[in-house]
Amino acid sequence: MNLFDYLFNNYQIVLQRTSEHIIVFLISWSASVLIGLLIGILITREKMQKYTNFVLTLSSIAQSIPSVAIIALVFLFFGIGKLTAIFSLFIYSLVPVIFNTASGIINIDKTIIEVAEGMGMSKKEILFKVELLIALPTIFSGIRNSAVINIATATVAAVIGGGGLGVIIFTGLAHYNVSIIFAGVLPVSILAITIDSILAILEKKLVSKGLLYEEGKL
Amino acid sequence: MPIKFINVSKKFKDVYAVKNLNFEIDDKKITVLIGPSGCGKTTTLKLINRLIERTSGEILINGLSIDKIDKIELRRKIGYVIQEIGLFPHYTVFDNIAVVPKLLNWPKNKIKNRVIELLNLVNLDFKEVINKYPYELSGGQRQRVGVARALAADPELLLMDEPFGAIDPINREILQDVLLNIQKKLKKTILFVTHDIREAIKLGDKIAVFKDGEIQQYDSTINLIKNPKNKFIENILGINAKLNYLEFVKVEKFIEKDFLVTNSISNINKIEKECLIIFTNKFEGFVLKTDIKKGHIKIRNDYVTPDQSVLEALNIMFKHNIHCLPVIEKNNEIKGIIKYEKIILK
Repeated sequence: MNLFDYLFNNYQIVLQRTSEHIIVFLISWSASVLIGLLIGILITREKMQKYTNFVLTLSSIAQSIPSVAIIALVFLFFGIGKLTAIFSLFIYSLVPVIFNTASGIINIDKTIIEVAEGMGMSKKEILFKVELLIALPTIFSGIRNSAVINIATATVAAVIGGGGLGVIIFTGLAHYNVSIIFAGVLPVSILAITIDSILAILEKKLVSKGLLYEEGKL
Repeated sequence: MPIKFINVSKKFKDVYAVKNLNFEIDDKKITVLIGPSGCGKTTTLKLINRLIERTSGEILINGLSIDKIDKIELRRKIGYVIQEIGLFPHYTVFDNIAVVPKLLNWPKNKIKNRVIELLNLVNLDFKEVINKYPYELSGGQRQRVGVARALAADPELLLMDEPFGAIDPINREILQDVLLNIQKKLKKTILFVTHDIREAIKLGDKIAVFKDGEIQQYDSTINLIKNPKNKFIENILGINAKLNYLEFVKVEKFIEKDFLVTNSISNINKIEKECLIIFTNKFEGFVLKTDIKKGHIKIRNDYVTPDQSVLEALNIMFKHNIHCLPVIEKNNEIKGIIKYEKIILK
């Protein structure tokens, strides 16, 4: 039996599952990036700063909870279905975005913020011209992390009706069929690597060269 | 922009950071705030651009209360320099200097010309540095960019918080000279915080000595050195203050007119003035009254230029055991003479 048998003979099914996977990923991940950024920024605003550390601790604890546990929990409350899957993926990939956005911003040298203020930047200008730009490398690693976690976890989410490549993998596991397992594993790996590479290119484009030194990438 | 502090206090919880400040900062001069750490000098600075809000009292800029000016607008009119860390790491030199002009929506061309002009002003080669990031610059270069950035929108007032504190001594001297040169050209009102008395004496037209949030003495630099009000001031000044002062004061401040000019020294046996300068199209030398009295006319040819330091003039005097020296401009114009007694008595 050839490793590629199932993949070649049923490529339409594989393609369909792949696009399912991509859709579930894109919906849940983009929501978690948007909302994660928003929460990360909000909790670092002056009025909220007393909660920043609390949220950071909470999200770092949340990051250590296994993805299966989150999926099981959400399943308990919302039952089976695509929405449940998307929702649990959203929650799980939200955490690294919040954590990195907030920690990236609060770790900026306070004197730099003060100088920006002293030069007459408004709070908004400080956020967009200084804080977010300097925190960008950290934020990006959060976003990339979140994408990879999301794609991986989406495989598991198949058990609660998320569809996607997980369905193929679990079918393969149930039949103890390597060829079927492989037809799920290969596309999901390619997907994860591709998305991460795209984000890496984007990061290189967007992050200021002036920060490479501090990141130790020079 | 003259600045007036009226009964200004700042309390952090129950502790006064500064207490009942009453003083005026002169227009177009350099005022230095000095004192040990925690004495309130930096707080005083930040009260002006309202990075710290005062608890009570009034601060007037150009006679107008700073509360009457929009905070953001006020800050854009004030140049602000801190230690080297203050440059934005994610911006190039160009973008760092262009921050305030961009906030003020200057046209692109004007910003570019301004940045080049400023880099020249702080003696940086704009072609070399304009596209570099802060981490690619040396400490001294960074600080020059910091000064250029503060001057970008041509503010009348400059607040400088230990700007050269993290720089090595040699570069610090150079940067101080750069600042003095800029000040000569631009005549800004500068408030300069330091803990280095040498720097204070070199830069300050006036010095305010702080201790525990209060001003111990506020005076012109020379008065402070001559008449320290108490032991604390004396300690701050240290034993070298007077000598430091002579090192930083230019000869031009001591020029006197007690001299005569002649083109030949034949048949001279008595002069009324202290010094006879021999001059034929250019400076040829000088003769001292005391030399003539002793009966042997000796032509000396030392001189100083007006922008040399008084200490250098003293050095030459000691070397030749004389009490005055001609002051000659580089283009051979006679400015006058400088006398030993005047330096020491002043």
